[in-house]
Amino acid sequence: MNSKLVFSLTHAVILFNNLEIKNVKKISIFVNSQIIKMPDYFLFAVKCLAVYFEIMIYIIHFRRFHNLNNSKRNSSISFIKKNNIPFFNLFIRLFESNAIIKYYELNNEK
Amino acid sequence: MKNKFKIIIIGSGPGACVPAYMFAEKGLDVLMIEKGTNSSISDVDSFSCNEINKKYKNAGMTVAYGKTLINYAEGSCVGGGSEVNSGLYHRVPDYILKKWEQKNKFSFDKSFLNDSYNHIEKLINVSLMHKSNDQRASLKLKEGCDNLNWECSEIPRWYKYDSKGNGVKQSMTETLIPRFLKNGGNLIDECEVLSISSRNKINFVSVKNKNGNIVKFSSDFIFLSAGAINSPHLLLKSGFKRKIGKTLKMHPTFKFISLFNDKINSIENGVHVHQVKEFSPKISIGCSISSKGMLSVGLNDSNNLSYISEWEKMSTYYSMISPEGIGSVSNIPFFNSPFVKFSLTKNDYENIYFGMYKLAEILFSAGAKLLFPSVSSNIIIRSMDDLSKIKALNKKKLNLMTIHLFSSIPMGGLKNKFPLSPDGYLYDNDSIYVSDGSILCDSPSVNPQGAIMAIARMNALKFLERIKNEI
Repeated sequence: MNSKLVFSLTHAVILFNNLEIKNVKKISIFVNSQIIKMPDYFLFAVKCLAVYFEIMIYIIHFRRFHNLNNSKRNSSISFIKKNNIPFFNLFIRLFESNAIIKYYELNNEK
Repeated sequence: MKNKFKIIIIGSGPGACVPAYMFAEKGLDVLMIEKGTNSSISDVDSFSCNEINKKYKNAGMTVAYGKTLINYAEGSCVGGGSEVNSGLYHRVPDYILKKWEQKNKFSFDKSFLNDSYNHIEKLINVSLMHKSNDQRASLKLKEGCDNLNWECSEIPRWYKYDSKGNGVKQSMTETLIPRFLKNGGNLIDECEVLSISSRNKINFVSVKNKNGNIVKFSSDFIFLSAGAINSPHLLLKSGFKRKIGKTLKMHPTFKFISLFNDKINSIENGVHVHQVKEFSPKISIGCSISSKGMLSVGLNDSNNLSYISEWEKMSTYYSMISPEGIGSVSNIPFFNSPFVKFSLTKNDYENIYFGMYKLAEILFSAGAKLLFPSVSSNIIIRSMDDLSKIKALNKKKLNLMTIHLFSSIPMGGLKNKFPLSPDGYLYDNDSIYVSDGSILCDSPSVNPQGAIMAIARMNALKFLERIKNEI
């Protein structure tokens, strides 16, 4: 999957959850390594969703997701989550669950 | 490395390691093939993100599809599930064994089985937890049950402690794999078995090694121990289709994160050992791993992540059912991963809700302030009355999970009804044995590793008897 999209989505879900912006690089590497290990048919579906997500964002903002400012990224995620947009809500949840678990692990080290 | 062996064992979990070390000690020429990596138990922190990524199959991102999605997790590393599970040990209760015998039309030799249990318990040092370990979260279950006069007991684990209470889980990389290797066994890791085939009484195993090259091994016998999902999947890919992968069972599990007034959690907190057996075999209740990371994901599911600041007063508790429902393992054209389905019945949902009520009753009785359910909806449970909100939700919103999978290639006494004989070989090819959770007749209603190892030992002894003239 496009590493710029993974990094920008990881950054965005951390901001969306009002968490401190630190260790984003480490977290996005973890998120990416989780995604690439998914069952192949699941990975195929996620890759398709990523393409649709990028197209949707481009149609709305005339920019790709990683080129959007934080506020526009935030409003895009908020729109998907609040309106429970089918499939895209699962796509965001995939990033959110993996980013959050790694975030709290990194912020809880002994 | 040579290409011909007497026995090839596919997988390296508990069901694989029991026959592997026994055969190696008898001087048989054995090759063990594992898809995951070989690392010791201390290489990555238990229950960390690193462990999930490196030692779980598909990094833990595996789901059984159905009306309600059920996340499942399996180990995928040398040592299999024993490397990543909690190490809680049970024997299968006698009344469950009786049900298995009636359903699958054969009888267990009880004294042989008990002898196997005793042997296994010594091998992996089944013992109670050292008193110095922090059990505050687990003891909340005991407190709640004591108030309600319900049965709750400490479950032993395969663990070895020193006098100070520092323990090491007696996983396969700590116990049987060193014994297997010391006695001349061969182990290759990061090698994926693509298919198995038989010709002129010789079995062939096609393997993709870590460099991406395809290598062929041959053997007189194969022991398939790749787990309840991958074992049937490999057989299906290899053309063995009769009754394979159609009777998958699991223990779907519902969870609450419970917030108490007092501190019950810490960074050092590990596995919790109390389980409530008052409603067994229908329901089993216990306490789960509750690291800050795990709690954050659970809270985020119900949109309550803001409560994470109180994580030291929180722990995760579960209620697990033994379902009537059945699942399946199948192939999808053009894809390599197994496709898993599981259908819960109306009674199963009733039992999930029943378990949820009983778990909430215990937690409130132990002083819980708030419960955060494992649902994709913004719900907080403040009293027993609030539980109706969960029942009113669409079943798709329940976030169920399981770590117990079995019965996808069940043993049975009738050749036309079951794929596997009670001695562990395929009815369709008696040189291929299955030795993992797939062979259990149905839900054991408890953690299955003890039963898997005991049955694996029985079948390995029967196999040694079968080939005694060749040793």
